[in-house]
Amino acid sequence: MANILIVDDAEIIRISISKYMEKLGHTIIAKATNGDEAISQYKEYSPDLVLMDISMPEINGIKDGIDALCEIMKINSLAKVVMVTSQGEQRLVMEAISKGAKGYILKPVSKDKLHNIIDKLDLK
Amino acid sequence: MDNFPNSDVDFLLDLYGDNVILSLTDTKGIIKYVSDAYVEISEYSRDELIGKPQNIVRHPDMPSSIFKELWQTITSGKTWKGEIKNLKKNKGFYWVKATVTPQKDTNGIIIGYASVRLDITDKKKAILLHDQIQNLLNNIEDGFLTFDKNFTIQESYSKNCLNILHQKSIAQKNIAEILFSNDKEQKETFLFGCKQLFQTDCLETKEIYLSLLPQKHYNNQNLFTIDYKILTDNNLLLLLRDITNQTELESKIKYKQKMQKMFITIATHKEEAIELIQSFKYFLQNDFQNIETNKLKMNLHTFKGLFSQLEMVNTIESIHEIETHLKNNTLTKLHRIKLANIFNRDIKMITDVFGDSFLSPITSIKIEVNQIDKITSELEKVIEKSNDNNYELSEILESIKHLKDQSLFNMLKVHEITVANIAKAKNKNLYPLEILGSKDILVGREFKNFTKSLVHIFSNSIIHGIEESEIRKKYNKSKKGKIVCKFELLNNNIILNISDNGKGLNIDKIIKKAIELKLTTKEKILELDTQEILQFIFSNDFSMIDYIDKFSGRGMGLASVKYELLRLKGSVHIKNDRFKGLSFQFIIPYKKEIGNDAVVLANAIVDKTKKFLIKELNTTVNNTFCGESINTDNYYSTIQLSGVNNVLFSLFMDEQLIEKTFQYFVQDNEIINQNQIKENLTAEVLNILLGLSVPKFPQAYTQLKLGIPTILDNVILETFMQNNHSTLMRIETEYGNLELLVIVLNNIN
Repeated sequence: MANILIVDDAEIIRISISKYMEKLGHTIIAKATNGDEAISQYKEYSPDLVLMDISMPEINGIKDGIDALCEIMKINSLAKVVMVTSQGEQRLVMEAISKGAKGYILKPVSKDKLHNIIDKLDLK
Repeated sequence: MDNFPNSDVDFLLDLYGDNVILSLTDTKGIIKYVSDAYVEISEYSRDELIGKPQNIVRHPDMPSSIFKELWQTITSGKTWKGEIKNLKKNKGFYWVKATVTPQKDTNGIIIGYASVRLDITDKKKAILLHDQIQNLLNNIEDGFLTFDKNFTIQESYSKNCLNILHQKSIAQKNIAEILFSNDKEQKETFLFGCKQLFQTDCLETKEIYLSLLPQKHYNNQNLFTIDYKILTDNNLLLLLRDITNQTELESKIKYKQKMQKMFITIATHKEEAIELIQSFKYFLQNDFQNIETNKLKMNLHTFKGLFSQLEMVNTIESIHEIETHLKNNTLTKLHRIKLANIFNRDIKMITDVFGDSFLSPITSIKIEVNQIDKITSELEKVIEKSNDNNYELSEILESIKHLKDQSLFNMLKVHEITVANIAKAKNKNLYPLEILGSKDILVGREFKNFTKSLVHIFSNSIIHGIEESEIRKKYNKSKKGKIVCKFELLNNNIILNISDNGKGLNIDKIIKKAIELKLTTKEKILELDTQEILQFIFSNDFSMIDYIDKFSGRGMGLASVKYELLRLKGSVHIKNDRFKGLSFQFIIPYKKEIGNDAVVLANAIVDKTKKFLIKELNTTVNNTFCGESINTDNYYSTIQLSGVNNVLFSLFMDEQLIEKTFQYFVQDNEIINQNQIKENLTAEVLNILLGLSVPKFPQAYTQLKLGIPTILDNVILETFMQNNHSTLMRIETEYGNLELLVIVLNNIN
């Protein structure tokens, strides 16, 4: 029963993650298409979990998911942000982890993967 | 001892005694003094040691040579150093590093020996353990190694690391340098990830970093996977596994799957495939240099798209390569040739599977067999009804019926898989079945039941005929069994031969079984020749093995072959050799309805005859119909054509007609009345007519040899007519009748 914020510039990803999460019994409280929007959504809704795409177009100086992550961590040092990444972005993910991300999901996203991460982060 | 104050000497001596394993012996090696440490480690009491020879602590594992050397050294006044294994009182052991030195008096004469020992048991244990571990590591196929937070590789690693990493030694080296020497990016990722891992305390976070480290790496010649484990001492364990070969296998499998996909797509999109392939062939004829670049790019791109729909992977990749070269301005003539080669290879793969004619642009359509049957039965009704013998219709009827014919080769080819499967199931070492024969020989569908029944011949060969490898070896036979199936068309018969190189049939067993089944008696057997005895195997329930399994034992396999063979009016000859193997020769008449042939032949001649009568003899033809009986009062002549079949052609002409013919030949109005000449004329005409007609005969009759015209006795003629297929055609002209008799003699060879 967690509140989730989905951040991804691709609509199909936002839609599929929403569908899976709803099936798993969670609420999609907000969606964002870029890092800047993500920060403002986070401020407004304080979601339990943020699913953040790592590479997104730059808006307002927020270059990508990692920048957004840093800002969110500043807002709430206990924020749970999970990066959504494609194959080949290991280096970026490492950086995200070092900056406070709690984990990552490899695309293509599946219900199982989301279930596992929810379990791990203890977000029942 | 130098400079020690006396009060401290005792203290020091005690210290020594407690901690240093000391002993003093006399010149004969008898123990005079032992320190406390000696007593402690040897577990003997002082009393048990004093007065005993020092070899009381000698361990049986120690070779005596070492003590010989020791004794030689010290008795010559020198000091000996070495490692010795000693025996405890309770039979335990301990290792020492010993120094044995002679004790001399002031004159330099040896008065005894002293030995100082250092306990190295733990060290020895450690070395032994290390050797064991190293032994283990050296025999593992994978590469194990460990490294610390400074990325330094530690001493113990498995030998295979050296193979995988192409190094002579890796201890103390930097793992990142060695592993990722050729890939800066991966090295960077590896270093960063490991550093973060080492820095953080949280185990879960460590695991996350671990999962992000490079899992696969290509290092010059090897492709290997990397697995990571965090060890209790916070070092990292690396497991390297060489998957170069595995990947080759995987890519081979993937390639095969791609090919299969291509075949399926092309089979289901035949028209598109043919069209595309034709247009690409045409496209390839042009030198690429002569085509304007943009047009070339467009064409290539379009072709690439179309080929990708047909899944012709190799051609697609080759086109892609050319596009790249075009972009880089590096296109040469050779590239087009290379593309053509790869394209042709794809084509060859397709035609190998589907047949050479598959891709020919000749249009072919599918027709169902019932449709043909419907048409032929309608046509037959029409022919029956018509009074006018429409021979052309009959010929057309025959052609249509033959549309259903199939290649005998294809009918037999299906057995290739069956043979392979049975051979595998019965564990027999066999060459793949070879079908030899022309793919152009077409036979009626009635052959199918027969060719299907041949599975029993094949399975008998494999199961009972061809021996196991060891037995074949024992008899110096060729290592692999072989079954050959070949056929040819000869004298209007299909000669089909199936032979194996197994152990043939056991005549005695056949005789025994034949008698048992009451097919013959002990006495009658004596009158039979070998071939007749062999033929018993085709009888019902004739099985010479005691068990019944999935493949054999029921005794009806060959019986069904015989049954189908008889339906085709065929015969079989068996050749049996206990060493060379068994062979079946089937002879099956090629055309079932020879009777039809007489009609067809007659039609052909009648056709030409009518033309001849009208054009050459200037007669009018009134009616043509089937005659019922021959009138040998007329002049006639008979010519036999022999060869594939034996056919008799007889021509009967009314007198008036003969006279007209004479005029044609002689151009003389003189009336002839000598029978001889009249008969000669008939013969001449028949010869001419046959010469004109033979090209129109069905294929089986075109290679005939014309005999000499004769006059056959009418009784003989009538006998022939009764016993064979014959047709009598009568043509009515204004000058009388002409009759043609065609008799196709059944092959009684």
